[in-house]
Amino acid sequence: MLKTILRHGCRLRSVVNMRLSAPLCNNIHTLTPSNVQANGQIWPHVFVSRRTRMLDQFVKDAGQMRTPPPLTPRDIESRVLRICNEYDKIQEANKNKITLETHFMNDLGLDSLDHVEIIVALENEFGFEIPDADYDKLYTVGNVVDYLIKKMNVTDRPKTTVSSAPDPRYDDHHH
Amino acid sequence: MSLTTRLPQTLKQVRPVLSTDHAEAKRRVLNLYKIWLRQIPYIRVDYIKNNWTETRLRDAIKENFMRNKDVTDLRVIDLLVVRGQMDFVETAEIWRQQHNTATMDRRKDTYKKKPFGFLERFYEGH
Repeated sequence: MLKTILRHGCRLRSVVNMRLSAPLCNNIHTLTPSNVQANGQIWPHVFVSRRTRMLDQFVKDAGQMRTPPPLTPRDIESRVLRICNEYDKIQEANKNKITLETHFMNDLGLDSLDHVEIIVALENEFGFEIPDADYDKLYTVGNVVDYLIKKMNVTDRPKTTVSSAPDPRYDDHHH
Repeated sequence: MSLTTRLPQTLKQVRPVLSTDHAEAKRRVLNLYKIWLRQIPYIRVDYIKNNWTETRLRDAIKENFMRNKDVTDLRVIDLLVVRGQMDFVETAEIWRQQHNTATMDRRKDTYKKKPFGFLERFYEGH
């Protein structure tokens, strides 16, 4: 009987091995069959494969639950300044002279096409599209920063995870 | 009394092609410029034989826009924008071939600035 179980387990071992996740793959390099545990106990391959599947799922879930740290207004400001400094027409003369009060056209001498280029660079950096009605609000660096902060709902202090007060952003759903 | 003051108001108005004022025309031009900018990486891949750098392509596109920088007539601007959109579709769908695309970065002014002095206008036949 034991012989049968062992043979059965060995026959399906390759299938089980394919399901092993990366951290569990170390078992493959040792020459023991995968249904033999570290303490020498033999588990049916059904248990092993089910456990492997669950572990894989846990790893996947943990990866999805990881969130990036929240943005602060200072982050946005530094990113906008970096984009403006990287833009080659600004780089020629005015590198590192850019402040929040710098006006793209009056101070830097850019035309409206250059302005569009900067806006496209901003869109690529922050990952959303800026509608063309808002272009004339974005003539100074400070205006750009304020606009992005408003658009992306960035707040200075991190939100508390547990709070009895309802989130004001979701008010629309309750009323 | 000059001709413009004698003409009735209804005769002076022309039917707009697309835009009714300069702000709208400008918006159309900027939008067109934006979609060209967005297309740059794809143009580089689609027309890989032209061996453009990203900067060169951007300058070429800007050159093509700046060729018509002196145009002020709304209807002309609209027609140029429509032509630019058709050019864009041709480029994006890879209907162009190598030499056809290469003409994009040839420096050539299509619009001749109007002479403003009396004699210059006389020489030009105005």
